[in-house]
Amino acid sequence: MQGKKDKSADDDIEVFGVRKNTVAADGPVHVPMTDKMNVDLMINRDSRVMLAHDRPFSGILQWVEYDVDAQSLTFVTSDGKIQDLGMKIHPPMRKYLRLATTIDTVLYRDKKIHDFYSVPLVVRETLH
Amino acid sequence: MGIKEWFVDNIVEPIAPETAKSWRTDAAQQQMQEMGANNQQFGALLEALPPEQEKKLAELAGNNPELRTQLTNFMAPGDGGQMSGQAAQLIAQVSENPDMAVRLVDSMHADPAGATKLMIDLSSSDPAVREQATVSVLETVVPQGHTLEAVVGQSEGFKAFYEQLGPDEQTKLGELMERPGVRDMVLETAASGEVPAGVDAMADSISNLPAGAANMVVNKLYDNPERSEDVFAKLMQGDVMQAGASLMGGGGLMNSMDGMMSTFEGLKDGLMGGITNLLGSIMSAFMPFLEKIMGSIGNMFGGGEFMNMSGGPNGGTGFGAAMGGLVKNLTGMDITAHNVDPNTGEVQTAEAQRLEQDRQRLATSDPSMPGNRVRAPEGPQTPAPTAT
Repeated sequence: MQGKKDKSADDDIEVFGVRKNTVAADGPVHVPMTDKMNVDLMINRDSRVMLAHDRPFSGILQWVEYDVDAQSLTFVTSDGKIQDLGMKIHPPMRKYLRLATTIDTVLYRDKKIHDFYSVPLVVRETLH
Repeated sequence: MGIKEWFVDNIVEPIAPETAKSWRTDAAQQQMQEMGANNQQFGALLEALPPEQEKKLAELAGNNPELRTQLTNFMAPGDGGQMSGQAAQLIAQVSENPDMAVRLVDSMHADPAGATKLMIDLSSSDPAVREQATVSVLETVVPQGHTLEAVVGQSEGFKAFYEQLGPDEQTKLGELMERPGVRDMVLETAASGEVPAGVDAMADSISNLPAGAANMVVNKLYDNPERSEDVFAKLMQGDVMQAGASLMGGGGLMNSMDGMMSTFEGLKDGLMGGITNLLGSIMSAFMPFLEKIMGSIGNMFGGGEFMNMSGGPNGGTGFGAAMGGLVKNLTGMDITAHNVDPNTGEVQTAEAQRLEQDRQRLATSDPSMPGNRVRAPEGPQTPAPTAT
């Protein structure tokens, strides 16, 4: 008689869904940015956008997508993974953000700038 | 003997096919020389060709009226005929390298119909057709193993960078250029006739570094070939910062610098104190990018007024304010932030924030807080003891 129970196929059956914001490390989607780090999205009347954050991004950023309809800001990395900002883009910011073409990101921690990017911004919007 | 027999015996027979061919070739060769005199690029190409290839080209033109017409149009005097700037650049590039010139003529000679089409495409009014034709030429004249040759002469910055490399690193760079994705990109860039700003900027930056730095960059790339396509793609797009980031495998400019500096750690001992100068040189090479950061922040807050929205594991409280403080320190500007509530989207104006801060200051009894008022303690007042 074996002391250990044999692993059966039943062990792989998961009835309950994955927990909120839990994704596989090698999955194509990262958890929302605000779950991982403090971020501050700033925009001025000239549609200059800056994103301050206090932890490094999960990969090398390729571009950022602003979906006007979904009110979302999504970051795309060079290995094809995506990460949502984690905050809705509310109406006061909308009209300025939809005219922006780049986002400057600043990694700011311990009162110092550690990193800086200028990333293209793609705006998606349903017009009709 | 009739006139027909006389003609065959005395005219046709003596002109054997080879003789007739050579007569036409001579005439075509003379015509080509005239074209070369009228057209600087074509003249340079003819000069680069050995006699055998020049003869092949003449033979090709002599036997193929359509090709001759295209060549004539292509090389018309005056405004350069129909030759595009792209084609002129291509011919100039090929002329500088006799091996390429030989390969070009040999391939045209082997496929006259293809050569004619190439001439038509090179003088097309459609830039996409012209570029595709140019890529075809480059793929022909730049065989595998010679991709590097196609770009060294394209950019002064790149040439300076290449000449800084040691023999091993030159070989390694040549091998990297042969990677399929990289070779395609390099040839397409060479075909476009325009050196992306990124190539020159990166090459200039690296050329300003001390000897050995260029070797380090190539070795880093050679040891991580999977990054090469990404690095070259970024360079072709003119994005030096992200090319540097890809090269170092880091997250951005500062990580790139960390990467470079840690790579240079090993040189410390050998340099015996020269490290300070070395790092200084690296810093000065990257200074334009640091200026860009400062410029970007300056532009961002140039108007002094912006909206911001904070979030984070703990709500992001205070992070935006800290950033604002940094910006004020860097730019010396007074800034006005209108906070957007990330949950409701409501805007708390700067004026409302100021009033709220005033209210909170008034609510505390700490008189050391700037702008705070001292107020009477709450509860019944105890009269001061009096002397008896």
